Amino acid sequence: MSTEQLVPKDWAGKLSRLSITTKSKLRGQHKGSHRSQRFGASLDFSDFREYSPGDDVRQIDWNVYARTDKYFIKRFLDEQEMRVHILLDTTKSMGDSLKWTFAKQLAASLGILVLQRDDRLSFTAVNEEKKVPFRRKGATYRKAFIQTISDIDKPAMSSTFTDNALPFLPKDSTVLFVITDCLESIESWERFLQKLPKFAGDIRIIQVVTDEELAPSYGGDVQLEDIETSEQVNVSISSRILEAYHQERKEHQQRLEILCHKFGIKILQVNANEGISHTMFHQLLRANWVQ
Amino acid sequence: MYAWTAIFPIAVLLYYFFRKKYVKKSVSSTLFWQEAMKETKASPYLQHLQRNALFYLQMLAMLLLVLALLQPYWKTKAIAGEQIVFIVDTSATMKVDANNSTSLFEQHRSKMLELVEQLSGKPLTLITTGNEPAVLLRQEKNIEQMIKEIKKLEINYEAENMSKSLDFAQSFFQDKATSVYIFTDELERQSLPLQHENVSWNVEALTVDIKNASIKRFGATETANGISTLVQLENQSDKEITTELEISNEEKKLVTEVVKLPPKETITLSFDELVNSSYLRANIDIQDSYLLDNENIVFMADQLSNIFIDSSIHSLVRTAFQSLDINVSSVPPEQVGLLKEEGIMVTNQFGIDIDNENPVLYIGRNDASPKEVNGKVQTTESPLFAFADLKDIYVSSVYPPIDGYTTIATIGDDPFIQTSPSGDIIILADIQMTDWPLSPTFPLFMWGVKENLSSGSDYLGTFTPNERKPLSLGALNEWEIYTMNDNYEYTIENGGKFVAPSEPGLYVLRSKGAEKNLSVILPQEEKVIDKGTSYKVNGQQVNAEGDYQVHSFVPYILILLILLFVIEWEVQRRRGFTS
Repeated sequence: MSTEQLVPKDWAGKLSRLSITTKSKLRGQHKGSHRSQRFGASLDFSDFREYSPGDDVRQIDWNVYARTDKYFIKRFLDEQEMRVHILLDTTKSMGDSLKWTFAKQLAASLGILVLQRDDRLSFTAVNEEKKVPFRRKGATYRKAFIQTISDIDKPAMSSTFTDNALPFLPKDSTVLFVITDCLESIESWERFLQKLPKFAGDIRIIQVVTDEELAPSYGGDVQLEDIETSEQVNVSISSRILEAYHQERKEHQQRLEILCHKFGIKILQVNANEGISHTMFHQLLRANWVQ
Repeated sequence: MYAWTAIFPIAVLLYYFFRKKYVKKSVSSTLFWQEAMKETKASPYLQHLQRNALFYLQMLAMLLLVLALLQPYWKTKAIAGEQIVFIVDTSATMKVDANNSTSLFEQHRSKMLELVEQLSGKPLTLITTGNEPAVLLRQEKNIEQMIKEIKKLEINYEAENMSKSLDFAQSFFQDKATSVYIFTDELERQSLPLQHENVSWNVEALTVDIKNASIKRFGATETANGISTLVQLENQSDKEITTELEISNEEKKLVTEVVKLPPKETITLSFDELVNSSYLRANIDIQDSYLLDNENIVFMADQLSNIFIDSSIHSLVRTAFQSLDINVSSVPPEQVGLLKEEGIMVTNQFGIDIDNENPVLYIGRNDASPKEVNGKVQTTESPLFAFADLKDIYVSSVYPPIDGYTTIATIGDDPFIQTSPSGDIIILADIQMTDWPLSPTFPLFMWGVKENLSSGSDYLGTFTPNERKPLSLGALNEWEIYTMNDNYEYTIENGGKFVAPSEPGLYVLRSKGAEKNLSVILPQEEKVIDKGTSYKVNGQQVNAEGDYQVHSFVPYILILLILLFVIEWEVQRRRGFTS
């Protein structure tokens, strides 16, 4: 799959006015383009503080001393890099072409956002074979990242995402994006989510759904096969059954959201059918994940 | 017989064709579907049943099949014998109130319907009693037909004539083992033809005590001082009955008298000097079990039944009347004018002054001499010729006609038979002048004459129920029969086909403005009701074999099986064919 096909042509340009916001204080050691809450060597003025012995004499603002006869230290905000990790679910349940393309677009877009702000991006697709993760910093790697995303094979993983994702995670991320469809049992999600906060300060799950999942269009007597587990269920679809399905779905979603809230994880449901630009420019903005 | 069971395999086949087909469909996850479908699951025991439903269902189907092969059945009691004969008494006494205002007849009817259910395919013959026993069902095997006929049965009020019906029934035995059921009020064991060895007799009789008072006889004669009546009342029960006897005519009550009737006794009452009326009605006001015999009607206009023949008339005339079973008396010619008794006079003494106003038939006239004629006899439309066609008779000579009389038959241009304004009839020829007596129409004509002369009134007489009796009402007219309350009953084509109505009472015959009355009364033996006993006389050769009716369980099992198959399909359909 070529780059052009994955994201629109001037996509990077459009995304350039967005940046990822986070309140997480966990930062990398390297200098970056994000202002940090710490005081540092950036040009941005923060505040004044009275001089106390031991402070760097060079930082005394002599102009203020001239006016007030007191020593003040002028402080500046530090600029630090942000470490963003994107984790992509590649279990077979993501294999629906619409969903998969959307998930990849989402990963690519988020990656571009990170890279063009000179932040450190790491990316792993949860696979059965462990590949070397993508780990780059700087806008120059945008093309390479998109290429990496494009090169990911179609989802072929049959084992569960929640049980296999943890080893792919770096320990020191500022922001962790998890792109998944959340179609696994609440119990396994609970196990996964309770371990997740160790890995990053700000964890965001982007749940990809499709219209087909929200409101099944098929009717009559169908034998449904789970593409991930190959389980088969015979369903004679009736309004009663459909209602039960919706009920189950809603319940799953609610329990998932409660779990996320409990572990301080943000979750956002995005619909693949609504398109990547709607998601990027409306949903993520409204959720205040980007600005 | 079991051809209808073919519907089962067809149903299964149809079900197979129309069963649901599953369309394969891949989805991202069946997580929610499984949850949605799981809702039916209940206890582990039920889950086990659910999981092994097919096994259990098939097991059950196998067991049922084995059971069906054993051909299980249950027995119910059936009527013994190869064939069944019902003899149903339809006489008036069957109307007796046997039990809480259900008549004995209705009781028997339900008993018959009950028995029909136990026939188990044996042929049924249904005979009703009466003057002419009727076979309503002849070796019938169709149960629906039987039920239909039994429901149609009606009381015809005739005397039962049980011996006739019994004789009739015997013609159906044909040496087969036969069960005869007699539905009547009372029948003595002696009157059964017990000589048949392979016939068993079952008599269903009136078994409850009844209370009945009856007007046994009621007669009335006109005397110089009015009407004298005689009433005979009978109490047929064991208790004394007090009732009110009432005699009335068409307008008002004439006599009311309270009468005490001692048990099992008959009393006779007479009343004289009653007002002249056209009819009298006697009834007793009592609510007993049998209401039909509580009323009796007598018409005052009695038919003239005697015929007096002038002894100078040819003896063939006398023979003709006698052949009709009519009372004939000879009267010497000189006494013809002096006769005091009522009756029809036959003479040739035309112009004689007859004392009482008896009607007269003149044959020839002794006051004139005949002249020769030659020609064919032609008749007008008169009730006299309803049964007698005079076309082929030869008449050599006739007497001159009488002025003012109506000619009803001619020979050529000469009058042959005339009627007087007062109703007398004259034949203008001697018997010797014609070959008429040799023709069969002669006695028929004489009968017509008698009927014509005697029915001076419009009263036809008293009949027993359904009595057949030719009446000279005229051949061409249709007569409609009405009850006294102007309810139409039926129509007869002419007098020759007259059949009296079955229900006792007064009736009116109407045709083109003419009206005639008649009354139907119960036969004397139908006024007596006795309690009988129900009993059974078994023929020696009727064994208990076939005493039971076998009902098969197989059709029910088959129905269960088809149900099971359907359930199995349903289970398989839900489960899917792979698992």
